[in-house]
Amino acid sequence: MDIIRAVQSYVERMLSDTTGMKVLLLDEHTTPIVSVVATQSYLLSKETYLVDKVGNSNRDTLKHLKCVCFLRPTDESMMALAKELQAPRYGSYYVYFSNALKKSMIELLAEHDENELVQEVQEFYADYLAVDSHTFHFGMTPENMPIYLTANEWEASALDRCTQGLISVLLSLRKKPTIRYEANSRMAAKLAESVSYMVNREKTLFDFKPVEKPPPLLLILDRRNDPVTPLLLQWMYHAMVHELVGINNGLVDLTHVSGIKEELKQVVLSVDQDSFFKQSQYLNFGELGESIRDYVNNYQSKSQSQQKIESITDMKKFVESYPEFRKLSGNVTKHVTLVGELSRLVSDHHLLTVSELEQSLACNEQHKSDLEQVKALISNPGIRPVYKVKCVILYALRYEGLSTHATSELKQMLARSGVSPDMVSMVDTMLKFGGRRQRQGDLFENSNIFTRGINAIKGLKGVENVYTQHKPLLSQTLDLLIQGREHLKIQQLLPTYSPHGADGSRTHGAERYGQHGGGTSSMTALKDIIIFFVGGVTLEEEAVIAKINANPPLPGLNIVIGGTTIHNSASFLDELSTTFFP
Amino acid sequence: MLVVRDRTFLFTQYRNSFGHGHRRKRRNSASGGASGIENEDLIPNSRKYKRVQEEEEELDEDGHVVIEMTTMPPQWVDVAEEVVYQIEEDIKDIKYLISQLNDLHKKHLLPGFDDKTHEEREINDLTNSITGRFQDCQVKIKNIQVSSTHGQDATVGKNIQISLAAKLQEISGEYRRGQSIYLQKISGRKNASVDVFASSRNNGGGGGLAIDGVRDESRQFDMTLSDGQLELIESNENMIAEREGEISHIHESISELAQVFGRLQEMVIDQGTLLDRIDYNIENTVINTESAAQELTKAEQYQKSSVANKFIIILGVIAAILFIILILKWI
Repeated sequence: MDIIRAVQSYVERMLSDTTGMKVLLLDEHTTPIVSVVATQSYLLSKETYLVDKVGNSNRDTLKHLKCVCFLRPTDESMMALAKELQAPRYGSYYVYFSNALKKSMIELLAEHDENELVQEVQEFYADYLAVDSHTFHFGMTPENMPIYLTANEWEASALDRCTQGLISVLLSLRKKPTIRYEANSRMAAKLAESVSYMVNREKTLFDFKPVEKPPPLLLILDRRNDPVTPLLLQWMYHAMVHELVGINNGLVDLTHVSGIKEELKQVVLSVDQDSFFKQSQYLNFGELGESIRDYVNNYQSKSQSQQKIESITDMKKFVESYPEFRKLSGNVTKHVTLVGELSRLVSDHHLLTVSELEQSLACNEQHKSDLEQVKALISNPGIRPVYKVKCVILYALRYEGLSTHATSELKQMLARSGVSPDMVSMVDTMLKFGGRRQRQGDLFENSNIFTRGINAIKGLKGVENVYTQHKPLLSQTLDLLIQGREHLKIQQLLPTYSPHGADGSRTHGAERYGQHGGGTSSMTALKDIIIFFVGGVTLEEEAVIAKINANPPLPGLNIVIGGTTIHNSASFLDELSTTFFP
Repeated sequence: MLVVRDRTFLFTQYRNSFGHGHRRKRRNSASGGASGIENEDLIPNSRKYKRVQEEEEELDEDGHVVIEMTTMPPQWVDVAEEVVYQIEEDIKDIKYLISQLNDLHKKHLLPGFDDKTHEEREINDLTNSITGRFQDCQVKIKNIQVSSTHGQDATVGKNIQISLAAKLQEISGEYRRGQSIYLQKISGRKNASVDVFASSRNNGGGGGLAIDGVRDESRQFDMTLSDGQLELIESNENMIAEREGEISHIHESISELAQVFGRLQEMVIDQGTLLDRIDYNIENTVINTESAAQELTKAEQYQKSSVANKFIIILGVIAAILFIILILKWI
């Protein structure tokens, strides 16, 4: 199960099946899909000498080129292609769609292909953005595709997008899964049903031989059950860049950095193309410092031998390693700039102080000292308002059940310290989104005396690193799943796939959990798991999966994780603030 | 084992049911028939060609003759395709030559007392011809001329050059690595032999000096050496001189290559940079065509701009007046 490889194979096939000089037409959905897994040099090596958007009406007529189209079957792309076929600019057309076509769409194309230039119409299921070999997402933002219609309802188009995306993930990985979802989530249930319906409808596509034993598992989770993870400051390289600067489909925008060189205003971060990044993406900030120092030293020793080109031997060495050297030099500059910017942000915004408090709020139950520290933070003028709000949100989430909690007092303090009312209202929004009544599972490990006790002991033991003690709820969920201690309260089996599927009286829903009892033992054998987060996944969770995959607790266990988008705290808050919560 | 679904059949069925393009269908069936009887036809191509031509010069509804100009590429494309083909062949050749050269290198580096001048000449010739091939290819790439200097045709031409340069660069890397390993080994051997002769003395200075030193030293040793040993040393000295020549020859070929390769590097996209991102390139083509269009309109404006025109007229008038004054003066 390699996500990047899967998409790359599709791209390779579509460019290799058509030989000769060609142009590649994409739409606004497939452009990012292809861009994250392939490079311009790769396209050129496949004789693809021009790339353009199908919707660009400014294209020149180049009849001597063949045209490979890779489009998402949306209405806009269909209309653009139909228009193109009516007034063709290229010699012949090889059309690939990233998902299942409706018959009406094929008919529309056939009707417009008056010159009979279309040679191929195929479905290639690469309908998702591949971030890493085990990570995918659909790039859904409130601007391009809002998820929530109301607090618990899907926006219809977003549900379709997720269903199609998951179907394409399953097909590209050749998996016919059993589907489970978090029992309390209506949206997860809806998506599970929708995916299950599609899998049954496209039976012929999902007819993989031999049938896998144990069957792969598609686990659909809801962000709502863990609203804490996306709010925390991150200290691992990849996650940290995303949290503090922002990564947009593998691109990092550094234009705001003062005195930045022109070629570094936008840099590419790709696990697939950048070996240093692949190695250090999970290092924490301290380790990263060492790693980048080694990298620079390595570069320096090479560049010194490059600089003194006195003898002919030096020249030879220079020439011999020049392209490699040039590549290295570009990459070193990029990472040094990035890490430099990160450390500037850490010290300018007092992020160590903020992070310590955040972690304490997320992991330990110490109301008195937490409250004092939150108050101190709010009255500290050096801290940016957004961090103050996030700490109050964390406080409000953790101590929601405590009768003596001081959330309203803190909100007043926020307002007094000059935080905008919109930002202050995020505290309430978050409680509506992921408050106690919305959640299931024991997010803060404080729901009963037993877990409280364990938590207190953990607190006594002390931690290795104050800034990275938080573990997302996902690792708890996965532990339970892997150990086979089934919490049907946590995950509900979709009735059609249930061992008791014949029992027609069963319905599914939040009120039904905890009644399955037997029959779950068949589920304990796990091999391939595909996890999907409704409402966005975080890079902290992605790192958890990377760790499990590197060292699987069960033989052959392999996990892929994805979400509607990859959140940092800014995008998470943004998504919720634009959503209406009644 | 990719999961795909081919919808071409369904698509073709739909397309046929629409019935448009019956003209093309007829042509298809005609050429299909031609291929059917191809076995008995001695000159099938010419017949087929004729048929297609007949079909193409069909009358449209208004009775005008329609000649289709569908797949006539501009001339530079033919040239470019030819170059692409040639360079691919060249690359195959170069790869073969490199593997030959590597074999020769290995053979040459084996210790032995046979006369190796022949081998060395072979190596030299091979090295020269590989370097020459590289230079050749580089010139060919450079010479891909694009007829139009703007628009997407130009982008295509430029991209063909880039992709060829990248291919060439890739195998040039292999070649350079092979050469430098050989160079290392051979100069290592040279040093080793220097060490043998200079074992009792410490010899300062760089490579060239050391050899002279060795020569003097060995002369001093001569006194105590037998004739046989003397001969051996003489031949060793010759070998050293030859090897020196060999090494400098490799240096030459590498620095020649360096130039080729520097020119290639100018064309190749640096990997892992923004320039290598597909979406960036798409945005840029869009921007480029836009800016090209803008520049055209600007140019048009400049042309029309009356200020310049007025100046020309005024200057012309002044010239005329002065000329008249001149004539009046003469009179």
